[in-house]
Amino acid sequence: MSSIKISNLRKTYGQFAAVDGFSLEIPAGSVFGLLGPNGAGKTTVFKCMLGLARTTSGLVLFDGKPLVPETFERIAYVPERSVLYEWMTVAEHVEMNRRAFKAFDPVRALELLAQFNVEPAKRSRALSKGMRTAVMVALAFARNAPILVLDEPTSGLDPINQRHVLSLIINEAARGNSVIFSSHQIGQVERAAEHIAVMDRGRLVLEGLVDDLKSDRKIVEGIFPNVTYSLNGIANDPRVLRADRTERIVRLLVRDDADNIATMLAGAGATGVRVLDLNLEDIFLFAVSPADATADVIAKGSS
Amino acid sequence: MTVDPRSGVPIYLQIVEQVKRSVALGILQVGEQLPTVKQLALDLTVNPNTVARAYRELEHDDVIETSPGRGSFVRDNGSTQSAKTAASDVARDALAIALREAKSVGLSRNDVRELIDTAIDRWFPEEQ
Amino acid sequence: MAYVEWLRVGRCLKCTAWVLLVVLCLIVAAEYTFLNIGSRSSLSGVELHTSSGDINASEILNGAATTYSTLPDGTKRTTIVNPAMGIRVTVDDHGYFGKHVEIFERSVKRSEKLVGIGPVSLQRTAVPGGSMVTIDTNKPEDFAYVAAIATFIALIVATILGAPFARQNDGHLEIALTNPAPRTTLGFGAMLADVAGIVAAWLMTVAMLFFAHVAHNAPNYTYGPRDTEVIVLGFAGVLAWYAMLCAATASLRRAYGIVLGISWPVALLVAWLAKADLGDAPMAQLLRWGATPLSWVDPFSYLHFGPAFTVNGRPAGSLAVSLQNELPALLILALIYVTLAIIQWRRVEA
Repeated sequence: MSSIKISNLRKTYGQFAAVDGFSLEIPAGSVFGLLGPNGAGKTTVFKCMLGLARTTSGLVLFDGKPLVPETFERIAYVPERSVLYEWMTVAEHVEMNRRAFKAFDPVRALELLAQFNVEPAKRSRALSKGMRTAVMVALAFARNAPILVLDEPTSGLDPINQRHVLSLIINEAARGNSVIFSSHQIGQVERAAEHIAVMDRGRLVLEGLVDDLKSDRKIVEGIFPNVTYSLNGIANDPRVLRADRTERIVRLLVRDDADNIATMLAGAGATGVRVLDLNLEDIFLFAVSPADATADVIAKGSS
Repeated sequence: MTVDPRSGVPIYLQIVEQVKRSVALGILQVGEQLPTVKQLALDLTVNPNTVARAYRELEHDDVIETSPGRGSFVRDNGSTQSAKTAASDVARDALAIALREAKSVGLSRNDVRELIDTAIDRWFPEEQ
Repeated sequence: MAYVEWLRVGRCLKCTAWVLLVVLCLIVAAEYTFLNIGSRSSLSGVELHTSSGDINASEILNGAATTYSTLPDGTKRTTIVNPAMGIRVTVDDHGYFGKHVEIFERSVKRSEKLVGIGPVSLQRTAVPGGSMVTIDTNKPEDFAYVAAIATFIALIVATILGAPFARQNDGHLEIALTNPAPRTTLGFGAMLADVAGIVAAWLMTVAMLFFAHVAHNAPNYTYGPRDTEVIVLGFAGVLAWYAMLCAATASLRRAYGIVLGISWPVALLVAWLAKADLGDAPMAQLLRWGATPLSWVDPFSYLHFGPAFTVNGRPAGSLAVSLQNELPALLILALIYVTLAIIQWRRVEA
């Protein structure tokens, strides 16, 4: 049974659709990375998931059941910006969590705060942005919640603390808990997440296992002897997602079966045919950039 | 062991290759215990399921064996045999990449044969 | 979330305590200076109308014969006789139990109302042969007077605390709304914390006034059913006021400071416009027509406290109108406003 199931989520603010038909299933005990450019709607998805904003339409189920206040015993949330009370000390925030959540472990919270080098006696307004994020992260991970929803949990943190957060996420995964987090740091997502989803302009544009995406998606590159050439309809092959050409060089973004496509390209007269690996950043950029980002795109249906 | 998440090679495959290389080079002895999935995940800062998948691949390739409750150990199916198998895998993959590269720049079969002979002379001089 | 509100209330009460402490010190110092009746400086605070014209009471001491005696019950009596001015002053010092001063003027036959503040009263009555000014420093004091001041302070504290929801909305909703308790429970918990703080502030003010009094004089309060009415109406009014501010700010994020700031002037203005006699000009009628329905939902229009001053030693005007209409109205208003606040807050989005 999936931990979280989002079906056809739609959220409009007036005429503007921040989230437009978003569906996702997050299996229990998995780490899910949510990627997307700024303004893609990631934070809105989180807010709708957690009832912080009213969905215009669509359904969110937690373990098959809709969200009710009691569900929050099992969900820990780190918002994108600091929601700490400026006038309260960090220790008072720990106490607040202790009273609000049954499974909260104040000893663990203090340990985590020490790891992040945060003094519990300090008032929130005396903390830098990164330290406020660290406090919210520490409080969330001390919750021992089976589901963690983290919106940019490493924003503002120095590299050492970023590693800490990553280790915490991996630790939770090892304990069998689900983590869904959004981040602009693709390297972190590559490490910690086994599933990713890419959002753009309110829609889901890509979803899958990181390892599979990396294994399957490749660039097949070939060089033609003349500027004029025909691809024999290779660009229309369903396995070819994008086809870019720059003068004599053709690059095909293939969904899988790269070796076969390479052979086909060689058969069409290309030389120096290579299969190039894609890392997650490449996959992400291809997923969200417009199809005509590179010059002289060969549109599907021609040649 | 290190992994490069920015590489186009999936992390689980990187782990598989590195374990195989370690076995081939004798860094990992036969019967030696591998770190637990959780421990390796934390050490490398990668997802535990990725490590688990790598271990499954290694088991499928007969490089390690896993006993529930005891852990994962380098397989003892003839020490030279497993080392050699591992080494062969590594070398074969590297050769395939080299040959594909050669072909892509337009070398002929004979060109490649010459290159290989020169290389063997250089690397295995005592066996001439 | 109630914990956070308790912390906030605690901070507010600490601040209030400091302010009350400062006021206490000021009152005690003032009492010490001005209630030392019989000394030149205290008498200089009183103006007398004599046959020689209006004089400052301390001038009585010029050319007067002063005698001291002790009465059988231990009271120290100072008698000042000034034959030239035709004035005779008797100061009975009961020590901790207050002073009683009588100033007899031979030639002025006048009866005037003078005033008193708290336990101090001044009055002038016509007596055979002249008039008598009587000053008491520890007359019996209606507890309602203390309750009224405490209610006023409680209203201020209620205004300070009056926007618990807006303070959550202003950047902390994610904490409140990802809580396992339903929004309604959280809302009531916060309001209860605030009400407890308001009650504490009321009690602190009563304590402060009490200590201010007993620093110089023995406690001399009277307490009767009317005083209970004053307390009850006062609390109902404060509750309704607090609930109104909650309802007015429950949907706001940043602008709640403005609402709290203009709450007093607007509420007082509305209450006054609805009752004031501005004549029959069309503008006046329009103002009254607009203000009257607003005054029905304005807690201030139900809180009538008569002046805390005394006239001829007795309270001027009643200290509280009957509870018959005002109390139910205030309680209903409180209920309506609380409901409105909770309903609004349940709909806020992060």
